[in-house]
Amino acid sequence: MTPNPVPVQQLPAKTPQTAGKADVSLARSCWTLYRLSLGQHRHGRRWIGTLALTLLPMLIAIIIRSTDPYAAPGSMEFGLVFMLIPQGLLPLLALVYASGIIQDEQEDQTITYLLVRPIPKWMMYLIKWAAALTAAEILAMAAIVLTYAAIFCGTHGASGSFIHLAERCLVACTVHGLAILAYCGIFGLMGLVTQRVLVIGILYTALFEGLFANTPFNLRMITVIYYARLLIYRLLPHHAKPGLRVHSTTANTWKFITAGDPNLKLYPHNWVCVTVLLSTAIFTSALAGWICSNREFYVKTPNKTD
Amino acid sequence: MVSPIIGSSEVKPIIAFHEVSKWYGNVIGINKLTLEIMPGVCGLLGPNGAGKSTLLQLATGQLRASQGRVEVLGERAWNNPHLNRFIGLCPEQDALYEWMTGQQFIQCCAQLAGLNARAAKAKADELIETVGMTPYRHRVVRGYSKGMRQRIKLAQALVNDPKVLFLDEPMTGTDPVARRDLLEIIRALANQGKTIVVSSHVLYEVQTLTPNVILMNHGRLVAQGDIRQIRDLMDKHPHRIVLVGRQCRQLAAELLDYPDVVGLRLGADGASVMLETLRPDDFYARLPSLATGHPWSIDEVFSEDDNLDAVFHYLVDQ
Repeated sequence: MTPNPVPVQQLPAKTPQTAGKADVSLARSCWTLYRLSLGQHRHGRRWIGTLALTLLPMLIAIIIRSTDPYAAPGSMEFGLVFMLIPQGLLPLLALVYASGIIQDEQEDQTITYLLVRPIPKWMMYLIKWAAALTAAEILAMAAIVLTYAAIFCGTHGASGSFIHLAERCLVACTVHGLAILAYCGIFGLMGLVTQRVLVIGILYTALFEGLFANTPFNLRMITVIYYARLLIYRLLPHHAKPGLRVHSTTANTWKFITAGDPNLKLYPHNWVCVTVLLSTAIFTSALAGWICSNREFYVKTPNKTD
Repeated sequence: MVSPIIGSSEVKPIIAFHEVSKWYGNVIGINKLTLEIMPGVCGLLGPNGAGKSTLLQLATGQLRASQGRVEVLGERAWNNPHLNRFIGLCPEQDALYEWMTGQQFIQCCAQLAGLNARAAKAKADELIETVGMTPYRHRVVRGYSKGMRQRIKLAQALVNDPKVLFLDEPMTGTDPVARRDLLEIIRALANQGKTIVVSSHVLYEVQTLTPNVILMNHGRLVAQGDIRQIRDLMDKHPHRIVLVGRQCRQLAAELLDYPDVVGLRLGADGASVMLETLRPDDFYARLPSLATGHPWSIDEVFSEDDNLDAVFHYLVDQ
């Protein structure tokens, strides 16, 4: 294809709108960057992968129910919403979106268009982080709601009223939303300090969030999932009722010692859990913003090194 | 903080490098460079690897000098988002937000520069017309030819009406028509009083814009000044030009008849032809007519920098 031979126009005289610098606003720059970053998440093959991940728990629930009509909704809820989603889906979504906040722009060589705009680099990072968080949160919430629908739809109130289930779903969304906030902070920071963020992120998810969180030692206190589990255990009532089989299963699976302490009073309180998750997100994203503001971002120039 | 130079009528250097060095690990990109660029158009010349892009990235605040001081419009260049309101950059890399249309891309860049939606649309309309892309504005960037992409890249550099414009190899890979148009646009921008720094490894592109050039090689300043003195040296060396397109065999046959073409080689795939000429000015002037109205097409023009490199060696040896 040859470019168009349209004659070049005489450059127009400056209008007050274009000549003045007073019309520009940092807030508008930031809002545009946020929308641009969200738009980037909607394009490319990654979108198909994350959508498939999002639908996976719902599909599993549908398959289970269609093959086993007597499958207990409570067990499915535990297995899918409180095990698979926080341990698999949330970290992966956060990893996919947050790890590429800057790396994707560097790889696509489009970061130059951002670096020459009047947005401080730390702010650029935080805005792009917020966009990554938004994308991950939307998909995580969609996964939770769809999974609840797949588990409980058509159970005719046997598992509680619609309001009750909606409340459970809301609590699950809130707790998982906090977890994904922390995950996005961690993986965003990781994406700045390492080139192999996907490999390291998966190792982190498997080792830290998978292995350490499932040990009965204090080591698990450095994992995100530990605090999310404590909140789920306490906030979702039928799991917290001592004596129920599902309760002891939950406690056993998550290695909570409930003998003499059925409400986990010896464990970090709910406000501590929320504070830890929020602080993790704030600390990691602030640190990443600081790193970003002092970092040079190299962009390969074509066929050469200068 | 606004520098005293911004808005001042006093003639001061727009860009100043003071003893600037830049290392990439053990590799040196810029080596103790001291130079001042005054208002107007300035050509930045050097072969691949000379440090031109590093210099532009330092001046646009993308890179931090390992040593020394870089100032643009009297302000520190590194980590200075305020300065970005006054500069524009047309980067060398052929990267755009591929899913956007040309219009969306320019509008987005204008809004990133801080314009509101209405002003950004007006600015995008104006710039797209300026770069001659109006008929193709609603086409997705992914489908643009190299020349169209260069035009759009140039347009995005102008969204904030910059005082200083950095153009990194703006003509690379473009066809003769786009090349001519881009040169006209740059000239028009210079006439508006903008300070423009154009990097290129092709002297003959730059000389049509300005006699004022900076020559770099291996990260060092080799020469700065009037292009004619450098030209005299360069004309002793044949200039290699690569034309890429279709029906190159016929094109090569036509080129054989030109007295100023002293050497010719057809690419192995038949899609390119490399020629050597001792009078590149004449050849470049003839290019637009050579590209139209013939059975062949010329989609891209590259200029190999062997002769420029030879001159650099000569200058360095002096």
